[in-house]
Amino acid sequence: MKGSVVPGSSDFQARSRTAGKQRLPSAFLRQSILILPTRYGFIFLAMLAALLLGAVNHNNNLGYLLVFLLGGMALVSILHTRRAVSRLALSPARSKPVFAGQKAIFAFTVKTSDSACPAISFQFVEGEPTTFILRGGNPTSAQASLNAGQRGLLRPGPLVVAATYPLGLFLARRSLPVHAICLVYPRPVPGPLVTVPGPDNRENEGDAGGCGVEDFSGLEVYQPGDPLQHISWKSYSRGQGLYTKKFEGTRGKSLYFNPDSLPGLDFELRLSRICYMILKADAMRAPYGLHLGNRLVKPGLGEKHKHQCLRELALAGHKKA
Amino acid sequence: MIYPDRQTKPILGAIVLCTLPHFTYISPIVAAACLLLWGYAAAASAYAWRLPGRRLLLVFAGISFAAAMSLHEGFTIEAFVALLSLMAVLKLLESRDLRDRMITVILCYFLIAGRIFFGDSMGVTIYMLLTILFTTAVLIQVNQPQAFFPPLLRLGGVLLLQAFPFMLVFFLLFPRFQGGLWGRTHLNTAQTGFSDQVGFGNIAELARNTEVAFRVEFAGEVPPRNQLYWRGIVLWDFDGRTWRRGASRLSPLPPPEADPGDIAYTITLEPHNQHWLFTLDLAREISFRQAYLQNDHTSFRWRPITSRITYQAVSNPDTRLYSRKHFPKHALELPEQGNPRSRAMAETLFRESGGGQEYIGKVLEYFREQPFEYTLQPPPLAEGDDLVDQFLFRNRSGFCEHYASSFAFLMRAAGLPARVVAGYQGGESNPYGDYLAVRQSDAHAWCEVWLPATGWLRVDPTSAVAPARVTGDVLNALPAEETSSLLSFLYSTPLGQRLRGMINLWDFVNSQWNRRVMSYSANEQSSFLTALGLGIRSSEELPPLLAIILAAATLILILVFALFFRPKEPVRDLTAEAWLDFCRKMERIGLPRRPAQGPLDYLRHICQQRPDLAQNADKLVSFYVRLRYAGKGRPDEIQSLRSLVKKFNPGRSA
Repeated sequence: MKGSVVPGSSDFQARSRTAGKQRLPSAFLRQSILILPTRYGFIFLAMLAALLLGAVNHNNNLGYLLVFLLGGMALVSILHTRRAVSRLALSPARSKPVFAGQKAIFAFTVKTSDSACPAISFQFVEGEPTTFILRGGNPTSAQASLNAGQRGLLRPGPLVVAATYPLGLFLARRSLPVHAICLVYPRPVPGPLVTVPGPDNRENEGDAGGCGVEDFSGLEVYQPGDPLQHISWKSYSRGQGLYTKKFEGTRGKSLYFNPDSLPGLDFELRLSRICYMILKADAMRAPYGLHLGNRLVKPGLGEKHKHQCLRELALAGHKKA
Repeated sequence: MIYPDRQTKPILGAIVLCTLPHFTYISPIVAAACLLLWGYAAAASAYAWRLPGRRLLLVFAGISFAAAMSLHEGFTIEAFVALLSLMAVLKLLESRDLRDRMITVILCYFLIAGRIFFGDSMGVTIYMLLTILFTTAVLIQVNQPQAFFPPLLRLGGVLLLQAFPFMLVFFLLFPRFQGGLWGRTHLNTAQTGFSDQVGFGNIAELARNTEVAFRVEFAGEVPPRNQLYWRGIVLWDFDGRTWRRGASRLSPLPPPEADPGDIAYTITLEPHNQHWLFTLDLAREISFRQAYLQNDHTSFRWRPITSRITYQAVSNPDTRLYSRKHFPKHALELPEQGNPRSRAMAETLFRESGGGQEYIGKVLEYFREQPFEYTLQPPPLAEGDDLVDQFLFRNRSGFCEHYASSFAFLMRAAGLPARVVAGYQGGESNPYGDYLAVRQSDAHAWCEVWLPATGWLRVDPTSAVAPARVTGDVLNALPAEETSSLLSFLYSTPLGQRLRGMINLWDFVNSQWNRRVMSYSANEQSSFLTALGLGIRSSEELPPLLAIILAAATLILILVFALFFRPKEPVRDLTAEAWLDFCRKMERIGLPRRPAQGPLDYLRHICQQRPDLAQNADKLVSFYVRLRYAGKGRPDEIQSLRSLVKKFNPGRSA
């Protein structure tokens, strides 16, 4: 990010990034806005045409008044529609990592300098539209989603913002650049767990002394974060308090996952298999490490560890982000 | 299925508001069906009932179509309106998504538009505006389902107000064409007003109808009230029950000679779907397209009068009726049989009197002296051929048509040529505008008798029975127990007088609205352009010129609105611009600011890398930091920061 954060600027847009170029917020307001009649707009116009014909045929001045009032209303509504999208400002979007094939959801806040509360639909070029009602003048949470196809970094194109406010007869559309990146993990592909010894066994001997899954070794006082399935409900039901059952893994042998242990498979498929193994090991609460080319994640457990490993998988082969 | 959502009720409300005004002329069966369906839709929405399936609704739609067509005599406007009323609520019952709701709302607009064929008074216009407002708010809500309804009414009002200038410009400048594009759809409703026959009872039905039939403006003095006989049609043929016009044996009236007693006036006639125009007895001249005077002094137009028209006419009450020399044979025809007592009395009275004039006097005297009663609710006459006998000798109470019919019968029975004339008598002058409003309740029928000395002579037998009918008002002429209605309240109490003043004012407003707005036409457009300084030579020039001005005016309006609606120009942050300029200069020499670096960190970084720039950079950065974070800088301070940045020259990359 190069200096596009303007300190103190109240405008959200100021924080958006565009192709590394430094720009001022006002630049975004010059975006062209496309306005088209919706199909109801066409129906409405057809109705007006029919009424106008009727008024002309009967030479009915009340009919003329009616047609021109409704026509003027449709015309003026275009300006309202245009305004609904022209005064929008978006914050940078946040998104949680997803697995390939899942839907990446980008959450952001929208603000309008208008007091109106139009319904606005947001859509990435290849995504589906989602509609949110703006709270006039106040920031409104909104989100847009996109299918994450491949692992890696998902950078959606500009966000298409559309509104048919207020009458639904015309659609105003514009695209707003939005800073959004989503980390996409590989798609997990089930298969047997294949572990390899660590690159340096001696170094890892002490590390892997954590918790295993094989043998019950005793009870310990429950600590927040201990897996629920390991809680000793029997002793809890006896009124002895919360205890966690502890299991011992194979001491001294830490599990490492390494794509190289799956010969004969496509590289992406290997990553997918490893992804599955990581998730499995995490569910079993068996400590695991990751050995990926020249990168090494030491064995461990927990959410943070899992995400670190998955992130390595997601970005394998990418330039380090 | 409707779930209790917030949308169904407003849409139903719009349907009800838009359909209600049509209830006065669509078939009661259709109206009852509408009421039922509305109730069902309201209950279904309130209690989350399951709604009928599409197939059932399709069957309903088919039934509605058949019912609307059969109950309103085929493809008439009434039939379309009835069909629309049913379709709108049926569509609501199948509303499942945005599409259904949008279609329903558009049907509502059609329903509003349907009203234009049934009157264009001020009241109708105001009601129409209100329904447009409501329907538009509903349309907005259909598109913003989460929004609350009341603020949307306000937004709808804003839209309507903003649309108003467009409406005005288009209304003034849209080229008007004389006549229609093609045949007009048949309007079924015979608008109130009398039909082309007079029997025993059909004018009495009108006596309680206070709708305005026409308004008259006299060029000079208003003639005395007992002279205000508004001639409509002349009836020749009597079959024992009804007087009819019979086959037309009329020819146009020869052009008149000017006379000092001429009365010139302008009539604005409300549409009555008939061919005749009303004129003051007796018209000498009438000026309206396709309308001409016939030799019985009635006026006729080829096309029925389906919209309000205004025409000038000249009358002269002293004009001797044309065809003084002779009378048509059928002015003496009577049914072969029936009414023996009346015929006998006619013979006796005629024998006793010395001539036509005296015989007329004797018959009027008979009406005056026998206990005849003037009433809107005469006892019904029995079936049979002797209606005149029944009236003259048994019931003896009736309305003007009873007297006119039997009087004409007595004349013909005695061998005097006679005919019945139907029209209006009287009219109420409006104190606000200088005009006379003639209402349906003023409908009247009288007689004309041909005498060799005078030609056709007007005789009003009703005036013999109830003189007040001709000099005053219908209500004064009626017996007291029949005037206990709202009307008598209006005419006899002080509060009623004040209310009548308001009614008069309202009538005046309506007449102005009709004259100034609703009758706006190509002529007015042409004079409007002349007022703008754009005179035109021929009427062919008018439409293209109007179109050009209309386009220009619309463009200007749109531009004005666009200016009004333009997005707010963001306030330029000059301090930030200056800072970014500085960062750009540093970037050029290979010292870009990293995203996470604040200004002070960046300064430290610069000082490390380029000690030679340290002094200038320090001055600049600390100035920037002060302006940015220690409150808003004064304009001159910001200006000096900008010049500092401008002067700052980092030289080339190290």
